[in-house]
Amino acid sequence: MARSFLPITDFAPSKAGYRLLPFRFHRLDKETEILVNECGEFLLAPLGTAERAVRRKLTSAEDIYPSLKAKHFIYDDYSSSLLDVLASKYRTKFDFIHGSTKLHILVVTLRCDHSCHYCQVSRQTVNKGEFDMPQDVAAAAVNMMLQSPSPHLTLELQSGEPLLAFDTIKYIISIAKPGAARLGKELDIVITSNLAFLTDDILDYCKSERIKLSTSLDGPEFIHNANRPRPGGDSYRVAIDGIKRARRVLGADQVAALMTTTQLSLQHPNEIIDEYVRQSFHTIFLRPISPYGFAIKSHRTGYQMDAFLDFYLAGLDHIFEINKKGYNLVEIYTKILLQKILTPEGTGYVDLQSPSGAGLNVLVYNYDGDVYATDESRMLAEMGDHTFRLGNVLTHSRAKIFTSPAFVNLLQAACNQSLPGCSDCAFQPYCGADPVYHHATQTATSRMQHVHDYTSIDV
Amino acid sequence: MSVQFGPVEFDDQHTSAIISIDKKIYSKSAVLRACYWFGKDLYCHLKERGDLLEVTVGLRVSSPTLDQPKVRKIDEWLPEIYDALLDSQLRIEIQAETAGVRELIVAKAFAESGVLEDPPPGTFDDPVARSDSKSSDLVRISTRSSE
Repeated sequence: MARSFLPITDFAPSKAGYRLLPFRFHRLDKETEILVNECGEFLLAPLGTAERAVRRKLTSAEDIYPSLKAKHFIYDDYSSSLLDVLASKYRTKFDFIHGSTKLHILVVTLRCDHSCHYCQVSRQTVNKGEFDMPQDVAAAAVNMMLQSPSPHLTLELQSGEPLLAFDTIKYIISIAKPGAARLGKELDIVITSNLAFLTDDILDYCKSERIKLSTSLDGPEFIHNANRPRPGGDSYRVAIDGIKRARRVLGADQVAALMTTTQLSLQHPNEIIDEYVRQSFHTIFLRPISPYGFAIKSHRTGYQMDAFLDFYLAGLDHIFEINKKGYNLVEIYTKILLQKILTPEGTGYVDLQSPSGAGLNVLVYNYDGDVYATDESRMLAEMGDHTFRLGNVLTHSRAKIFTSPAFVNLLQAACNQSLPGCSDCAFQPYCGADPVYHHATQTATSRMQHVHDYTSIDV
Repeated sequence: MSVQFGPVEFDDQHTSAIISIDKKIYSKSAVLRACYWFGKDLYCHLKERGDLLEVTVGLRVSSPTLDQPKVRKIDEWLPEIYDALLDSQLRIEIQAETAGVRELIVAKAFAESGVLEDPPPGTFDDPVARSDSKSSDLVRISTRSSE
């Protein structure tokens, strides 16, 4: 079929004027404001552009007029068909809602040999077997996971140090994999471990069951050992040895590492990043410390967000230099933010999305069967705050979990589209709601510390 | 853009002020939303008086502390407050004008994902489907203004 362009008259300014599409705006300085639409498309414009658009003072002859149309802030007779594109972008942006909870975290034991300053878990000593997940709890947790409508599930086994309860892990996988296969669901399995107890037998098992490993690497030896003490003071050596052996058996792409930023880390962004390059990682996630568990009991680790931002920006400069030299290194948090700002794609990052990922995208099953909306909710419970305990796998159905008062309360603060302040904020499409974080830091689930944190950064 | 406000009354130390706002220009919702953003530094109290909204704004910290060694007088906050009021009113007008089309975009987005059983009514030109209830398409794109 032959196709041809529409006649030039179809591209002429509309005589009927324009109409507004939903957008928000924010003054950046005395000369510039930013306009952001529902899908995150943005335009930097002279101050007063939003007001002129609302008051119908814009003319189609102005340079900014085509940009406002192209970015979906206004539309006229000749652009209305593009609104289908806007709906498609909106659907893409919220695709993460589809399928409900995908990530299921099972806490197989509270036992751990490390005594990390920032640990979010109320760790127990290595020999206290009563803090392992019993089989009936494990079976009920797996059953609840499989009831999730999502066709693609991720089972994360963490703790504590999960390899201390390896028999429990084997039992969980022995029922989870056939269960998922029976229902036609894909199942990814990840063990989050400090690798201190990683034997060759465990590695062979991981290979045969196609299990990925995720570990902690806080930087070079002096930082890692200081942040993550263990008997013998050799947590760095153990982690590096484990990473190398796991890569040999499972493959390089089956082993991931995460770092946590402590007070000590703040002074050494370049050394931490260089360690990741030295260990042949191509991603690094410069993460601030979470305000839970031992992180706030221990005053050695805490710091203000401004100090973290200095660390983050210095680290980012160093990462740019490394990339310029030809080594591909991605900072994950930057990637998430840029993906949110520059594309309609969702990121799958549950800590910064709306509706919040708590419960909707992730569920945590504690060793005793208690179900929490997020891992951080479990940390709060270990500190005596059970606000986000949704139920127990032994006594509550999935329906009861998702209609529990705790979950309903959480949902009320889970959408930044309806939160005070956030509902008007231009940066809303890039941000998220994190009721658990806000509850922990501000004793309110709906405040917007995240927004304040981000808007304080120069655009 | 010039915006007319009524007279502003200050207390003796200039730690608080009463701003009179014309209700025909600024809605109560706009004033409340503007006040919300200053909650960290200022307290706000809103009172209706005839055709006016009276907003009392005051400094939460009125004298220097170790955490906040420099304190701005309430006068220095006024330009920001006026800007925030204007922005809030504009946001409300944008939301009011675009509510219908926003609902339609969302409905269309999720209708095509198979979430909705019935197609949403309306078109982008007529989001509430006043003029064309017979359209069988999910969304009809009109080339004419409905105004």
